[in-house]
Amino acid sequence: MSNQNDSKEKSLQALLQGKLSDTDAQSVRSELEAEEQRAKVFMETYLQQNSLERSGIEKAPESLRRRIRAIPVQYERSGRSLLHLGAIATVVLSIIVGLLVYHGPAPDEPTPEEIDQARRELIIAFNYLEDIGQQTSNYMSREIGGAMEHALIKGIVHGISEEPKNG
Amino acid sequence: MNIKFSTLVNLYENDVYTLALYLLRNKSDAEDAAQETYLKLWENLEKVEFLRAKSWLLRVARNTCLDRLRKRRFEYGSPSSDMQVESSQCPEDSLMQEQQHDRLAGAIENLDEPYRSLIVLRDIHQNSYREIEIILDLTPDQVKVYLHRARKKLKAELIEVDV
Repeated sequence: MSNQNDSKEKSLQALLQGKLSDTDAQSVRSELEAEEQRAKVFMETYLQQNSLERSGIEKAPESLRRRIRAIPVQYERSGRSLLHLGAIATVVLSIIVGLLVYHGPAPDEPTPEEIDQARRELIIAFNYLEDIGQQTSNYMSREIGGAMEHALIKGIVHGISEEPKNG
Repeated sequence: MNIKFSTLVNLYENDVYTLALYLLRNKSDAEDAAQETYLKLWENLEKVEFLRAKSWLLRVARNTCLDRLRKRRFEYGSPSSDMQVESSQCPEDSLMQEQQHDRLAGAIENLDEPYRSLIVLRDIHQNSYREIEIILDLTPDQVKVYLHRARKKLKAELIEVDV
């Protein structure tokens, strides 16, 4: 048994050192994969026998959950420039002004407070949208390419410009 | 809160905490390590790709834990464990489960690195081979061979503890 283990260990070491032929390496790999199944059965049986099957992943305690969620408040990242917010606010205000000009005075004109409130909500919404858009855009440009990114942006812009007409 | 950050917190905070708990075997240290990991994520949020964030988080968590273990060994020697299972079962069952869990955690603790991380990442967390390669910076062959050795050692540890 010990000799068998020694010889197994030698072949594993040779695999790690790249000293095996392709055929031999593949044979050792297949053996390891077969063992994976046996090891899985052993672990599962052990966990099951000891009623541990549900204890694999621990739930983070409430104190940790609070500490992690406090990180963005406690550690403001310097990288997030106000330029971004300024740009978004400019875009939002341009859209509002554009829409007002386009539609002209409405029969039931909102009060200045309502307009301010709507503007604030729009800025918040755009802030979220920008965050998601930036992540999506990065992913798209990497994974799918410029064409999809263009289509996505076009879709969002189209959706935004359509929104007031529907409402 | 930033959407990307909060999503990654909601998705992986339990995984990060569990890995830290298995490596450090101390709840307070595991919380500190998990918080440190997420602080590093916050500082590098724009560089971390969403789809690779899990591997990134677990790799950082592991390195953070190993640093802490090195410091701990240097400063205090071996720590006392306070790793326990939370359970809603009756006290007897809960106690038994706790003892069995402690036995498994103890056996895992006796493994050297990277065997310990491999068992936690593969057999406890059920991460894929590819994820483990990234987290531990190992080749596919190394993952397979080291995992084989890790399980062999763990099996021996468990049998030894049970006897």
